[in-house]
Amino acid sequence: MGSGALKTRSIRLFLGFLVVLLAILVTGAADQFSVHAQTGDAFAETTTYGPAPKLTAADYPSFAGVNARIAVWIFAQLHLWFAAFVLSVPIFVFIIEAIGMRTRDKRFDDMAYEFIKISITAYSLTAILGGLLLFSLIIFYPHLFTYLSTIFSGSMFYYALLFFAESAVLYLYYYGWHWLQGGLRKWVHLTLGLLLNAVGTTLMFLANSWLTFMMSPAGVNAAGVFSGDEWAAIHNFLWNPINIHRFVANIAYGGSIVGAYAAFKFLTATSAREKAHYDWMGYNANFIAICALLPLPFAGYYLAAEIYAYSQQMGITLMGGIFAWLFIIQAVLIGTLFLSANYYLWCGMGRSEGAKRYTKYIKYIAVVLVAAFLVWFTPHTLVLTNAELKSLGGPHHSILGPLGIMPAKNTAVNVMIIFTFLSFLYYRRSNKIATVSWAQTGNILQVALFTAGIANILFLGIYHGYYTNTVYKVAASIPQVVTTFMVITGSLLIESFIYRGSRDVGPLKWGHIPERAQYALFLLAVAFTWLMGLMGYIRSGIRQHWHVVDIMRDASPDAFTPTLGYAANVVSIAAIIFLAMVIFVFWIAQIGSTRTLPAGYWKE
Amino acid sequence: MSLKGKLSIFAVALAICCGGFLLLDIALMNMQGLSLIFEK
Repeated sequence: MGSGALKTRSIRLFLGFLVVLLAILVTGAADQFSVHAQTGDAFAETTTYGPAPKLTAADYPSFAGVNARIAVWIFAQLHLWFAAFVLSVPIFVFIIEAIGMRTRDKRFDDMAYEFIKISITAYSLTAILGGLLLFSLIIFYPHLFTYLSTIFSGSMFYYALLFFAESAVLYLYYYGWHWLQGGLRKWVHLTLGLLLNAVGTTLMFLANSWLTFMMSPAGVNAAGVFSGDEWAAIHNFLWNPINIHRFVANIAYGGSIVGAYAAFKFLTATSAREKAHYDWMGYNANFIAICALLPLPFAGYYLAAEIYAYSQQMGITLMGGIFAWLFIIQAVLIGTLFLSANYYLWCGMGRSEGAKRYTKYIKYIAVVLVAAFLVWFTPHTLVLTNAELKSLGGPHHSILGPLGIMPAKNTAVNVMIIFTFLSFLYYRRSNKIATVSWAQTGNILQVALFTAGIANILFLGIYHGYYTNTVYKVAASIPQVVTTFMVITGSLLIESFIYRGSRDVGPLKWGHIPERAQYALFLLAVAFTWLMGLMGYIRSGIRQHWHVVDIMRDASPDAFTPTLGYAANVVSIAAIIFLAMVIFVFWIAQIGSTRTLPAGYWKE
Repeated sequence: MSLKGKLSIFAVALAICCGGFLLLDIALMNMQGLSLIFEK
């Protein structure tokens, strides 16, 4: 037997072992939960669970003057940012590797490898921050941690084992990249990428169940006595809405951070070849971020609607109470995301000579985007002094006031998404010349589709938003979303037929992009980070004075909702720490590929 | 293609798209059972 065949056989054996191990872990976990689900009542009869503890301020240990809430808050936030990054990067590394395999373009494979290389250091930091979060919870909130770990003992045990499996697959995926190349080996490598994503996503879903249990507890009675059915506790009301929202958001976030890495490398590149490579990398990262950003507002809206459905009180606290003003900041930040993503696309059109045909339309897109942005962050009720109230005649502005309610925001978001898609279409067309005879008719069909779609979104927003019952206002958001989706898919379909067999205007000039476009990529990453921190605070903050809503009361000295300014400061400090750590990760990746050859140091 | 030809295609396509979207609106709003709530 040749050494090549032996190697292939050893790879197969090892991978077979790994797949079996993972299968045992996953089926074991599923079995554990299903047994609990089937025998929940019987289990509760044989195992005695106490009610949720009723705590006093004395039950919260203090340590070295550390503010428990801020410590846990910052560690949890940093852990979440890094976790989002390391879970999302393998998703699009897998996609890029598959594209490379299909097109046999090695540039995609090299780019995928560079992306996963960045996530290796980030992965260690995620684990370290997770450890810090765990220890700080045990130290500062021992009773809460004991209560949660009693209910989630099974999932926490399997979480730890899956974490081990995740590390094994990740290291094999990364270190085996150049080893597993060509033919069957490449397929094996791609399968490892799929396994890595399956394990990572399962890990996130398990952790999501613990936090959503604190918001919408299940599997316990009114006193917090656990029924023994862990699956019921995991599969609580808000589990899947959070799963969907986080899955989509992580991809957008990972794209933005990797885009910032490409921008950093572009700005520090010294050769035209390097600049071209990192420009191409930045474009791909931004493309992935935009693809995930477009459906994100809908996933967020669905989550908010489910929070309302679970508890009107939580829903009203969320968007009608103290946290409402954070949604204005959210609107500003999401508007910034859309504007910077569009700006990057417009700058990127400079890579092609053919873009001149479309640049005249950019100013109109910009006007619509800014108008939609302004509608999105128009507040409903203004915070005013007595004199201002008197002068205005109330807390609502007579003309701008109606723009403060959700139908106006939904309409603005959908219009923004459609126009962002239009920017992308122009970018895509800039280097192409259609050769089909009916290209002009195809364009007219696309214009009609866009016009009808936008008219329908405006009709739904204005008619149902202002002239019908409240239930219709909320319900109309669904056809609005479907309209946007249909405009995008319908237009892409027509586009693919128009540009079938098209000619290129010329070779794309990668690297021919203004440096200021790279700052748009930085802005994207910073805005995402800040946004996730602020919205995460809202999600957690709507529990108010409860550790577990209506079940376990928070009796610590910090059981109050801080002012928005205070919360924004904590999140901003955490964001600065995170971004400093990200720069460290980028720097590590840079020195990892730098070689110093000291003359005369080593013996010849 | 003449301007009249372009406008004719646009008008027909627009009418079809608008009709399609309106049907979609009616179908989706009814799927949510709203007419059942408000007809009583």
